[in-house]
Amino acid sequence: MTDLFANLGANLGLGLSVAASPQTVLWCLVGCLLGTLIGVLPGIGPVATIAMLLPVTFYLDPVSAIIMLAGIYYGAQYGGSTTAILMRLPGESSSVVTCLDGNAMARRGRAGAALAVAALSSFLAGTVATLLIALFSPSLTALAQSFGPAEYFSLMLLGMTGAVVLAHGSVPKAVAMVLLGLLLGLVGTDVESGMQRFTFGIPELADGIDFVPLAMGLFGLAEIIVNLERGVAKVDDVAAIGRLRPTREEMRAAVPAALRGTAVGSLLGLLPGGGAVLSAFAAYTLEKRLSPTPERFGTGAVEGVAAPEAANNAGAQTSFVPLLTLGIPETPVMALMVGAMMIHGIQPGPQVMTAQPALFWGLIASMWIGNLMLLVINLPLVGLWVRLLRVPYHLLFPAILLFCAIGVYSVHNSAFDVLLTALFGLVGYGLAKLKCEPAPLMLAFVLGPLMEENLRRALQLAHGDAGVFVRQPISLGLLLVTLALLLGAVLPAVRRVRAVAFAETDT
Amino acid sequence: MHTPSPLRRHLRGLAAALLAASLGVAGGAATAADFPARPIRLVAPAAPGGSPDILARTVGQFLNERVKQPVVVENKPGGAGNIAHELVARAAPDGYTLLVATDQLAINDSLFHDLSYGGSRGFAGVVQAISAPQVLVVNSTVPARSVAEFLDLARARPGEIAVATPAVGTVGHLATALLQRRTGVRLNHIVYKSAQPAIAEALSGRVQAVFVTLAPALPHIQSGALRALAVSTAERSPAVPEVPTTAEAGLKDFTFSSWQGFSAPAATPAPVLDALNAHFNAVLADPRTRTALTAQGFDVAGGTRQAFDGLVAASAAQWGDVIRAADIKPVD
Amino acid sequence: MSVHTESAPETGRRATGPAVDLWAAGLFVATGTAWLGLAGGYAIGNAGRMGPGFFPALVAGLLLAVGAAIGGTALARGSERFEPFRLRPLAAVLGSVLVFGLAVDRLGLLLTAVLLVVIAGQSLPGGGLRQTLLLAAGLAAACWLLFIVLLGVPLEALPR
Repeated sequence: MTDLFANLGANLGLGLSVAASPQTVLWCLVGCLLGTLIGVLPGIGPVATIAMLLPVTFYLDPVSAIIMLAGIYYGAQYGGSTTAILMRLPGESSSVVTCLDGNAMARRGRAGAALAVAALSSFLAGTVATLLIALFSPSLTALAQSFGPAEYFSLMLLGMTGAVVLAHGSVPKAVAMVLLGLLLGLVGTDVESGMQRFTFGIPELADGIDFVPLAMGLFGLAEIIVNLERGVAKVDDVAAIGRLRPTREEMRAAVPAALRGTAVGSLLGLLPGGGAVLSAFAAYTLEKRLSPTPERFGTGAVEGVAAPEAANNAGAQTSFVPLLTLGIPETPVMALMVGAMMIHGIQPGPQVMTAQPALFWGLIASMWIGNLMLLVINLPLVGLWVRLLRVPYHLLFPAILLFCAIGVYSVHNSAFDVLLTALFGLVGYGLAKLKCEPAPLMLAFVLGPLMEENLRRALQLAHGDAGVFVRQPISLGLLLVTLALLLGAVLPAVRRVRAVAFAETDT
Repeated sequence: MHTPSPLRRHLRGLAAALLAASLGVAGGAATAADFPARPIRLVAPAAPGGSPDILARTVGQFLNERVKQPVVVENKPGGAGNIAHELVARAAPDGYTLLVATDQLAINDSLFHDLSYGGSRGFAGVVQAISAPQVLVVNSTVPARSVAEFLDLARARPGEIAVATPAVGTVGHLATALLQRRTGVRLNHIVYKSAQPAIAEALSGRVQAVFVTLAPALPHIQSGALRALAVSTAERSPAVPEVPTTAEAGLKDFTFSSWQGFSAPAATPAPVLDALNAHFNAVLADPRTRTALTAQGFDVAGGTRQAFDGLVAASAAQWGDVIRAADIKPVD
Repeated sequence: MSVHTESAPETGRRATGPAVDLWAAGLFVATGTAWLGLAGGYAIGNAGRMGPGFFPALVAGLLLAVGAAIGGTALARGSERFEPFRLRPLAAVLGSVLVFGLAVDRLGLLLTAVLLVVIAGQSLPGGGLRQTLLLAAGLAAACWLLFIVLLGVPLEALPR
């Protein structure tokens, strides 16, 4: 135990000595600020922000560059949460969850509180995750490696089931939305055979539908159309701002939720094959399950902001472990980070931690500094962002549309993606009219390809024996949790139906 | 199918030159003396951070210093490179829009049925920038210290030795198909999205071997977690001098490397191509470029544009044979 | 039985018009059928080496089944009714983004941005053209400065 803490002290000391020099702190600050300012533009998520700002870092030495990039990443992520809360525009998969209750809080005049809770939860999660990495990183890598295709498939199945629980409307419709998301995720080139599926001969679809046009269409455009339909007079009411700071009750609910979110996110972030995308969804599902009043979720529950924001940030932090030690990027953002490192002559791999300890621990320490910067920059800015809601809607929505269009374009420099956004705007409007929630669809869309890939690969490795899913202990455990969750979701519904039936026979 | 005839190509070039002259704008485009007079666009068939993007940014930075014009890297990922290929093939043939050409350009000639840009013949080579060996590696627990031992193992347990490779149509994927074809062994060939997850699976031991570009596997070879059995190039790689070549390991007609370079639309005038070739060769000879590229596992190439054209044509022929022999179905 | 539920409070403000769940079911069944049809053209393979058609066919089949179940429930127990539609915001918002996507590579950012704002502005009745044009010009200039000058997004400012 003493060994553990001696290590911790030495590692963090080295990290801070690199990351806390005035020069690197400055780059980190600049990165956070730029990332926040660009990331807060509606329609421009972290991937687009980092891709746009990447060239800025080419002129720095490797350590400063990577630290500045980490700052940009954190800033962009927080900026993305800001637009998710204020305007219901998720720039990446994790913000989809923040939209649900964050935007609901904003509509109830609690935008300031939602933004502050998001910033504080992120900081808390960042701090805990940094300590976790410093304490356990060598053993964490081993844990990451124990996840094979069978385990991933079971994890994805658990994630999908969680997505059904996530919805606050009808369960069968949520299941249908998950399936619809899976189908959309399958568009593109099949990894195994190279065959193009469901692409209708359109070359731009060969790599599948991108997350950003789908999210901007289903959430952003659909939201704007519905708002306009209700009439501008009503829409302008939203400008009720209320008290900026969270109330004592809100804090009391948020802190435990943020801690649980941190635990979920830290664990899932370690898995190199797409655990991080699950973290925010999983934390939200957990909160909703644990809450004595699950019906508040989706209508502005503060736990529904704190937990996913914490999980997302913790996951982002711990996912640097597989990234640095195995060189596997989990998310598009991480892929960009690998590229950035390689441009600066750093080849991610097992030797980074031992051969370049200054870089490794400097990066970890700089993440914590980045989180601190974020808090310093953003708490004062909350008032400014919230004031954006005061801009009359008839001036605001064309600006949002324009930024969305440019943001979508800039991800792949593709005008086709802008056309897709319009198409999904129509779909999103239709789904809103049909009372179908888009969040389960988004999760399934992100996980679908991973799920299929791992299912096929697990069976290929096991020569077609499906028993592999229950023979591996981790996989079996995950399947049992899935089953429990499924029964938990279905049984109340069954009971309700029976209650209704009985009520009807009574009358 | 849409391949323009040489005559049509010349006519198109002539028309472009006439148009340029009549407008009096890019009049200098055809003469090498004041080339380049505007920013140069390097179109990479990859997202930022992908290997062609890294090459473009590294070379672009030094090219910018040399030609005193901005060099802009534009990312057009997707469609197995075809989206970027199409864009450059249709760009004005004035030397200001260049493609980061990879093996994929040559492979796609046979992998796709009907390429609207005419395939690799739609381009004129500027220079080969780098080459990179492919390497066959096994997990260190696999009892095979050479290619021969590996093949014996695979023959003893047909269909059970799992080999991971990156996406369909990449050099590693085709090489594994070719290996089975040539040696008659049956492997459990598992395809991943890219090199990194394939390597990770080999590290965990769930698959026994992986066939990939040397660079991403190198740190794990050095750490001892993976064992390299052979490199695919004609000569040994300076990065792993103790690893034999495929020819030394007893595999006949199994020599190839992956390469990247820069190409222009086919109708680009020869003087412009020559000027570009000279600039790129000077940049590639710069020790700073060399250091930066070597650090990323690339072997710096350089050379004449005719040599690059020859390489592209030879690769297209070689992979065409493999694709047909391994019975990989072309995509529409 | 359906009479019962139609009078329930959660069935929406308007008790007339088509039922939401029936249309949703129709959408799911149609999508499931279409994708099942497409997946039928891809190889199914076997468990040890699944073809590209296996998983899509499975998912599409499930969607069809769930859609049918939702439809059956809606027929048996009724469902809430559609909220009223308004065509104008829908057409203006989608149209503005469509036009942006179609025009941006040809007309450049400045002109396309103006087009987007002007078309989007049509989603509300009234609203002076002068004010819309002013907003459009301001936003176009701001986007040009931000995205092209400062961030280097590879977009042309003016028509090619």
